[in-house]
Amino acid sequence: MENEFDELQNKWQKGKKDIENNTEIINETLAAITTKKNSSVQFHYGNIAVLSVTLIGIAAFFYFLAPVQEILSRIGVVLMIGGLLTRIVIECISVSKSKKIDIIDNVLKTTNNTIAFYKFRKQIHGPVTIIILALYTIGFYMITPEFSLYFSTWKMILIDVSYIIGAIIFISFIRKSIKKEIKTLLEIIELRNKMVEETETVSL
Amino acid sequence: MSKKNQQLFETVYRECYPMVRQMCLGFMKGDIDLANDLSQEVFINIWNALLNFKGQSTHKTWVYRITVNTCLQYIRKEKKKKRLSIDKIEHALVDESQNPEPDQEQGLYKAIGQLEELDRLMIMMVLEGQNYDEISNILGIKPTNVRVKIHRIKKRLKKILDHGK
Repeated sequence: MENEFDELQNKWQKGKKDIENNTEIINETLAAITTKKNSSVQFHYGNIAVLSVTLIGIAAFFYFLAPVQEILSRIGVVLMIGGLLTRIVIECISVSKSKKIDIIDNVLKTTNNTIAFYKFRKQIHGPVTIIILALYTIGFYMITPEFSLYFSTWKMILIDVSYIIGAIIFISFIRKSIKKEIKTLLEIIELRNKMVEETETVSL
Repeated sequence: MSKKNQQLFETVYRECYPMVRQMCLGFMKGDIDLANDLSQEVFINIWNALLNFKGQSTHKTWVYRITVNTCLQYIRKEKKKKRLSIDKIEHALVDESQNPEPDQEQGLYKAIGQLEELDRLMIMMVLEGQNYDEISNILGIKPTNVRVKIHRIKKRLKKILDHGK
Protein backbone atom coordinates (compact mmCIF):
# COMPACT_ATOMS: atom_id res chain seq x y z
CA MET A 1 0.00 0.00 0.00
CA GLU A 2 2.91 2.35 0.82
CA ASN A 3 4.34 2.07 -2.72
CA GLU A 4 0.99 2.93 -4.20
CA PHE A 5 0.71 5.84 -1.83
CA ASP A 6 4.17 7.09 -2.86
CA GLU A 7 2.94 7.03 -6.42
CA LEU A 8 -0.08 9.13 -5.45
CA GLN A 9 2.21 11.52 -3.60
CA ASN A 10 4.35 11.90 -6.75
CA LYS A 11 1.24 12.66 -8.79
CA TRP A 12 0.19 15.19 -6.17
CA GLN A 13 3.58 16.89 -6.13
CA LYS A 14 3.62 16.99 -9.94
CA GLY A 15 0.26 18.76 -9.89
CA LYS A 16 1.67 21.26 -7.42
CA LYS A 17 4.70 21.88 -9.63
CA ASP A 18 2.34 22.61 -12.55
CA ILE A 19 0.61 25.25 -10.43
CA GLU A 20 3.96 26.69 -9.27
CA ASN A 21 5.04 27.10 -12.90
CA ASN A 22 1.80 28.80 -13.92
CA THR A 23 2.77 32.36 -12.97
CA GLU A 24 -0.16 33.74 -14.95
CA ILE A 25 -2.78 32.18 -12.68
CA ILE A 26 -0.75 33.11 -9.58
CA ASN A 27 -0.75 36.78 -10.59
CA GLU A 28 -4.37 36.72 -11.78
CA THR A 29 -5.55 35.26 -8.48
CA LEU A 30 -3.57 37.82 -6.48
CA ALA A 31 -5.25 40.62 -8.46
CA ALA A 32 -8.67 38.99 -7.91
CA ILE A 33 -8.04 38.67 -4.16
CA THR A 34 -7.02 42.33 -3.92
CA THR A 35 -10.16 43.46 -5.78
CA LYS A 36 -12.45 41.17 -3.79
CA LYS A 37 -10.89 42.26 -0.49
CA ASN A 38 -11.24 45.95 -1.29
CA SER A 39 -14.85 45.69 -2.38
CA SER A 40 -15.98 43.16 0.19
CA VAL A 41 -19.35 44.00 1.65
CA GLN A 42 -20.04 43.34 5.29
CA PHE A 43 -22.97 40.98 4.80
CA HIS A 44 -23.18 40.54 8.56
CA TYR A 45 -24.54 44.05 8.85
CA GLY A 46 -27.26 43.48 6.21
CA ASN A 47 -29.93 42.34 8.67
CA ILE A 48 -29.07 45.12 11.10
CA ALA A 49 -29.37 47.71 8.30
CA VAL A 50 -32.78 46.41 7.15
CA LEU A 51 -34.12 46.27 10.71
CA SER A 52 -32.77 49.74 11.50
CA VAL A 53 -34.40 51.28 8.41
CA THR A 54 -37.71 49.61 9.39
CA LEU A 55 -37.36 50.95 12.93
CA ILE A 56 -36.65 54.48 11.70
CA GLY A 57 -39.60 54.23 9.27
CA ILE A 58 -42.05 53.12 11.98
CA ALA A 59 -40.76 55.66 14.52
CA ALA A 60 -41.02 58.47 11.93
CA PHE A 61 -44.54 57.33 10.97
CA PHE A 62 -45.78 57.50 14.57
CA TYR A 63 -43.92 60.72 15.32
CA PHE A 64 -44.68 62.78 12.21
CA LEU A 65 -47.69 61.23 10.44
CA ALA A 66 -49.78 59.47 13.05
CA PRO A 67 -48.95 60.60 16.58
CA VAL A 68 -51.33 58.40 18.57
CA GLN A 69 -53.09 59.91 21.61
CA GLU A 70 -54.60 56.99 23.57
CA ILE A 71 -52.54 55.27 26.29
CA LEU A 72 -53.39 51.85 24.84
CA SER A 73 -52.08 52.96 21.42
CA ARG A 74 -48.92 54.41 22.94
CA ILE A 75 -48.20 51.12 24.72
CA GLY A 76 -48.75 49.44 21.36
CA VAL A 77 -46.20 51.73 19.69
CA VAL A 78 -43.71 51.02 22.50
CA LEU A 79 -44.21 47.26 22.01
CA MET A 80 -43.69 47.51 18.25
CA ILE A 81 -40.62 49.73 18.43
CA GLY A 82 -39.25 47.91 21.51
CA GLY A 83 -39.58 44.56 19.74
CA LEU A 84 -37.65 45.80 16.73
CA LEU A 85 -35.02 47.43 18.92
CA THR A 86 -34.54 44.18 20.87
CA ARG A 87 -34.13 42.27 17.59
CA ILE A 88 -31.47 44.78 16.43
CA VAL A 89 -29.55 44.38 19.72
CA ILE A 90 -29.69 40.58 19.37
CA GLU A 91 -28.48 40.82 15.77
CA CYS A 92 -25.51 42.95 16.97
CA ILE A 93 -24.67 40.30 19.60
CA SER A 94 -24.89 37.66 16.88
CA VAL A 95 -22.39 39.57 14.69
CA SER A 96 -20.00 39.92 17.63
CA LYS A 97 -20.32 36.17 18.37
CA SER A 98 -19.66 35.25 14.75
CA LYS A 99 -16.50 37.36 14.83
CA LYS A 100 -15.26 35.34 17.78
CA ILE A 101 -15.03 32.25 15.56
CA ASP A 102 -11.34 32.48 14.83
CA ILE A 103 -10.24 30.41 11.87
CA ILE A 104 -6.63 30.55 12.98
CA ASP A 105 -7.57 28.24 15.88
CA ASN A 106 -7.22 24.51 15.37
CA VAL A 107 -10.08 22.82 13.51
CA LEU A 108 -11.63 21.21 16.60
CA LYS A 109 -11.75 24.52 18.48
CA THR A 110 -13.15 26.36 15.45
CA THR A 111 -15.77 23.63 15.02
CA ASN A 112 -16.79 23.88 18.69
CA ASN A 113 -17.04 27.68 18.43
CA THR A 114 -19.12 27.34 15.26
CA ILE A 115 -21.48 24.93 17.04
CA ALA A 116 -21.89 27.42 19.93
CA PHE A 117 -22.67 30.17 17.40
CA TYR A 118 -25.29 28.12 15.55
CA LYS A 119 -26.91 27.08 18.84
CA PHE A 120 -27.23 30.79 19.64
CA ARG A 121 -28.66 31.46 16.15
CA LYS A 122 -31.17 28.65 16.63
CA GLN A 123 -32.34 30.32 19.84
CA ILE A 124 -32.72 33.78 18.31
CA HIS A 125 -34.36 32.52 15.16
CA GLY A 126 -36.70 30.37 17.19
CA PRO A 127 -38.24 31.30 20.57
CA VAL A 128 -36.82 34.84 20.78
CA THR A 129 -38.01 35.94 17.34
CA ILE A 130 -41.44 34.36 17.91
CA ILE A 131 -41.82 36.25 21.23
CA ILE A 132 -40.74 39.50 19.55
CA LEU A 133 -43.20 38.90 16.69
CA ALA A 134 -45.97 38.16 19.19
CA LEU A 135 -45.26 41.40 21.10
CA TYR A 136 -45.13 43.32 17.81
CA THR A 137 -48.50 41.86 16.79
CA ILE A 138 -50.06 42.66 20.17
CA GLY A 139 -48.67 46.20 19.83
CA PHE A 140 -50.15 46.51 16.34
CA TYR A 141 -53.62 45.42 17.46
CA MET A 142 -53.45 47.79 20.45
CA ILE A 143 -53.16 50.68 18.00
CA THR A 144 -56.00 49.60 15.72
CA PRO A 145 -58.88 50.82 17.99
CA GLU A 146 -57.56 54.40 17.75
CA PHE A 147 -56.86 53.99 14.02
CA SER A 148 -60.45 52.89 13.49
CA LEU A 149 -61.54 56.38 14.57
CA TYR A 150 -59.81 57.86 11.52
CA PHE A 151 -60.17 55.08 8.92
CA SER A 152 -63.27 53.56 7.37
CA THR A 153 -64.18 49.95 8.26
CA TRP A 154 -63.01 48.77 4.81
CA LYS A 155 -59.65 50.44 5.21
CA MET A 156 -59.27 48.87 8.65
CA ILE A 157 -60.07 45.44 7.22
CA LEU A 158 -57.48 46.08 4.52
CA ILE A 159 -54.86 47.07 7.13
CA ASP A 160 -55.62 44.02 9.29
CA VAL A 161 -55.59 41.58 6.38
CA SER A 162 -52.35 43.00 4.97
CA TYR A 163 -50.77 42.67 8.42
CA ILE A 164 -51.86 39.02 8.64
CA ILE A 165 -50.49 38.28 5.15
CA GLY A 166 -47.21 40.02 6.05
CA ALA A 167 -46.99 38.02 9.29
CA ILE A 168 -47.59 34.73 7.44
CA ILE A 169 -44.82 35.55 4.93
CA PHE A 170 -42.49 36.53 7.78
CA ILE A 171 -43.25 33.37 9.79
CA SER A 172 -42.63 31.12 6.76
CA PHE A 173 -39.34 32.95 6.19
CA ILE A 174 -38.35 32.35 9.84
CA ARG A 175 -39.30 28.66 9.58
CA LYS A 176 -37.12 28.31 6.48
CA SER A 177 -34.19 30.04 8.21
CA ILE A 178 -34.58 27.81 11.29
CA LYS A 179 -34.63 24.66 9.15
CA LYS A 180 -31.48 25.75 7.28
CA GLU A 181 -29.60 26.67 10.42
CA ILE A 182 -30.59 23.46 12.22
CA LYS A 183 -29.37 21.46 9.20
CA THR A 184 -26.04 23.33 9.30
CA LEU A 185 -25.82 22.83 13.06
CA LEU A 186 -26.39 19.08 12.73
CA GLU A 187 -23.74 18.82 10.02
CA ILE A 188 -21.16 20.62 12.16
CA ILE A 189 -22.04 18.51 15.21
CA GLU A 190 -21.60 15.39 13.06
CA LEU A 191 -18.20 16.64 11.91
CA ARG A 192 -17.13 17.34 15.51
CA ASN A 193 -18.39 13.91 16.62
CA LYS A 194 -16.34 12.23 13.92
CA MET A 195 -13.22 13.99 15.15
CA VAL A 196 -13.90 13.22 18.82
CA GLU A 197 -15.17 9.67 18.22
CA GLU A 198 -11.77 8.57 16.95
CA THR A 199 -10.06 9.92 20.08
CA GLU A 200 -12.34 7.76 22.21
CA THR A 201 -11.64 4.69 20.06
CA VAL A 202 -7.90 5.18 20.43
CA SER A 203 -7.99 5.77 24.18
CA LEU A 204 -9.92 2.52 24.78
CA MET B 1 -3.00 47.29 5.89
CA SER B 2 0.52 48.64 6.25
CA LYS B 3 3.08 48.21 3.48
CA LYS B 4 5.02 45.80 5.69
CA ASN B 5 1.98 43.57 6.16
CA GLN B 6 1.13 43.79 2.49
CA GLN B 7 4.63 42.58 1.68
CA LEU B 8 4.28 39.81 4.24
CA PHE B 9 0.96 38.81 2.68
CA GLU B 10 2.52 38.66 -0.79
CA THR B 11 5.39 36.54 0.53
CA VAL B 12 2.96 34.11 2.22
CA TYR B 13 0.80 34.14 -0.90
CA ARG B 14 3.61 33.30 -3.30
CA GLU B 15 5.01 30.66 -0.97
CA CYS B 16 1.70 28.96 -0.17
CA TYR B 17 -0.49 29.50 -3.25
CA PRO B 18 0.40 26.18 -4.98
CA MET B 19 -0.32 24.24 -1.77
CA VAL B 20 -3.59 26.08 -1.09
CA ARG B 21 -4.83 25.77 -4.68
CA GLN B 22 -3.92 22.11 -4.85
CA MET B 23 -5.82 21.45 -1.61
CA CYS B 24 -8.80 23.45 -2.87
CA LEU B 25 -8.79 21.46 -6.12
CA GLY B 26 -8.75 18.21 -4.18
CA PHE B 27 -11.45 19.40 -1.81
CA MET B 28 -13.66 20.56 -4.68
CA LYS B 29 -13.08 17.29 -6.57
CA GLY B 30 -11.09 18.95 -9.33
CA ASP B 31 -13.61 21.68 -10.21
CA ILE B 32 -11.44 24.60 -11.30
CA ASP B 33 -14.01 27.39 -10.86
CA LEU B 34 -14.96 26.30 -7.36
CA ALA B 35 -11.29 25.74 -6.47
CA ASN B 36 -10.40 29.25 -7.68
CA ASP B 37 -13.20 30.77 -5.67
CA LEU B 38 -12.24 28.79 -2.59
CA SER B 39 -8.52 29.67 -2.95
CA GLN B 40 -9.46 33.35 -3.08
CA GLU B 41 -11.59 32.94 0.04
CA VAL B 42 -8.68 31.24 1.85
CA PHE B 43 -6.31 34.09 1.01
CA ILE B 44 -8.84 36.76 1.96
CA ASN B 45 -9.08 35.01 5.36
CA ILE B 46 -5.27 34.89 5.56
CA TRP B 47 -5.17 38.60 4.75
CA ASN B 48 -7.76 39.36 7.46
CA ALA B 49 -5.94 37.21 10.02
CA LEU B 50 -2.46 38.46 9.24
CA LEU B 51 -2.58 41.15 11.93
CA ASN B 52 -3.32 38.46 14.54
CA PHE B 53 -0.42 36.22 13.55
CA LYS B 54 1.62 35.96 16.72
CA GLY B 55 4.25 33.54 15.50
CA GLN B 56 3.17 30.83 17.99
CA SER B 57 3.17 28.36 15.12
CA THR B 58 4.98 28.40 11.79
CA HIS B 59 3.52 30.30 8.85
CA LYS B 60 2.76 27.00 7.16
CA THR B 61 0.82 25.51 10.09
CA TRP B 62 -1.09 28.76 10.35
CA VAL B 63 -1.94 28.72 6.62
CA TYR B 64 -2.99 25.05 6.84
CA ARG B 65 -5.35 25.83 9.73
CA ILE B 66 -6.96 28.67 7.80
CA THR B 67 -7.17 26.53 4.65
CA VAL B 68 -8.83 23.58 6.42
CA ASN B 69 -11.24 25.79 8.38
CA THR B 70 -12.14 27.82 5.29
CA CYS B 71 -12.77 24.66 3.23
CA LEU B 72 -15.11 23.27 5.90
CA GLN B 73 -16.96 26.59 6.22
CA TYR B 74 -17.08 27.17 2.46
CA ILE B 75 -18.88 23.96 1.58
CA ARG B 76 -21.67 24.83 4.01
CA LYS B 77 -21.83 28.42 2.84
CA GLU B 78 -22.05 27.30 -0.77
CA LYS B 79 -24.80 24.84 0.11
CA LYS B 80 -26.76 27.67 1.68
CA LYS B 81 -26.06 30.22 -1.04
CA LYS B 82 -26.70 28.20 -4.14
CA ARG B 83 -28.93 25.59 -2.49
CA LEU B 84 -26.96 22.93 -4.27
CA SER B 85 -27.41 19.45 -3.04
CA ILE B 86 -24.36 17.20 -2.76
CA ASP B 87 -25.69 15.26 -5.76
CA LYS B 88 -25.80 18.40 -7.88
CA ILE B 89 -22.27 19.38 -6.84
CA GLU B 90 -21.02 15.94 -7.70
CA HIS B 91 -22.81 16.09 -11.03
CA ALA B 92 -21.23 19.48 -11.76
CA LEU B 93 -17.82 18.30 -10.68
CA VAL B 94 -17.67 15.33 -13.00
CA ASP B 95 -18.22 17.59 -16.00
CA GLU B 96 -15.02 16.87 -17.90
CA SER B 97 -15.39 19.86 -20.20
CA GLN B 98 -14.78 22.25 -17.33
CA ASN B 99 -11.62 20.54 -16.25
CA PRO B 100 -8.58 21.21 -18.35
CA GLU B 101 -6.32 19.71 -15.63
CA PRO B 102 -4.28 16.67 -16.72
CA ASP B 103 -6.28 13.41 -16.59
CA GLN B 104 -3.99 11.76 -14.03
CA GLU B 105 -4.47 14.57 -11.53
CA GLN B 106 -8.19 14.78 -12.27
CA GLY B 107 -8.48 11.10 -11.40
CA LEU B 108 -6.70 11.71 -8.13
CA TYR B 109 -8.87 14.73 -7.28
CA LYS B 110 -12.02 12.76 -8.06
CA ALA B 111 -10.87 9.80 -5.95
CA ILE B 112 -10.09 12.16 -3.06
CA GLY B 113 -13.45 13.81 -3.67
CA GLN B 114 -15.22 10.56 -2.85
CA LEU B 115 -13.90 10.69 0.70
CA GLU B 116 -15.73 12.54 3.47
CA GLU B 117 -14.95 16.25 3.88
CA LEU B 118 -12.54 15.95 6.81
CA ASP B 119 -10.93 12.79 5.42
CA ARG B 120 -10.27 14.63 2.15
CA LEU B 121 -8.43 17.38 3.96
CA MET B 122 -6.45 14.96 6.12
CA ILE B 123 -5.22 12.84 3.22
CA MET B 124 -4.26 15.96 1.28
CA MET B 125 -2.12 17.12 4.19
CA VAL B 126 -0.38 13.73 4.11
CA LEU B 127 0.13 14.06 0.34
CA GLU B 128 1.58 17.50 1.05
CA GLY B 129 4.16 15.82 3.27
CA GLN B 130 2.85 16.95 6.66
CA ASN B 131 3.68 14.57 9.51
CA TYR B 132 1.19 13.28 12.10
CA ASP B 133 2.26 15.80 14.77
CA GLU B 134 1.77 18.71 12.41
CA ILE B 135 -1.63 17.40 11.29
CA SER B 136 -2.58 16.86 14.93
CA ASN B 137 -1.60 20.47 15.66
CA ILE B 138 -3.70 21.75 12.76
CA LEU B 139 -6.78 19.68 13.66
CA GLY B 140 -6.51 19.85 17.45
CA ILE B 141 -6.76 16.06 17.91
CA LYS B 142 -4.22 13.57 19.29
CA PRO B 143 -1.41 12.32 16.98
CA THR B 144 -2.45 8.71 17.75
CA ASN B 145 -5.95 9.56 16.61
CA VAL B 146 -4.51 11.14 13.44
CA ARG B 147 -2.49 7.98 12.75
CA VAL B 148 -5.51 5.69 13.13
CA LYS B 149 -7.66 7.91 10.95
CA ILE B 150 -5.05 8.30 8.21
CA HIS B 151 -4.48 4.56 8.08
CA ARG B 152 -8.20 4.08 7.54
CA ILE B 153 -8.40 6.86 4.94
CA LYS B 154 -5.48 5.39 2.97
CA LYS B 155 -7.26 2.03 2.87
CA ARG B 156 -10.48 3.69 1.71
CA LEU B 157 -8.62 5.70 -0.95
CA LYS B 158 -6.91 2.57 -2.23
CA LYS B 159 -10.29 0.84 -2.48
CA ILE B 160 -11.68 3.82 -4.42
CA LEU B 161 -8.73 3.86 -6.82
CA ASP B 162 -8.88 0.08 -7.32
CA HIS B 163 -12.61 -0.20 -7.80
CA GLY B 164 -13.55 3.35 -8.76
CA LYS B 165 -15.98 3.46 -5.80
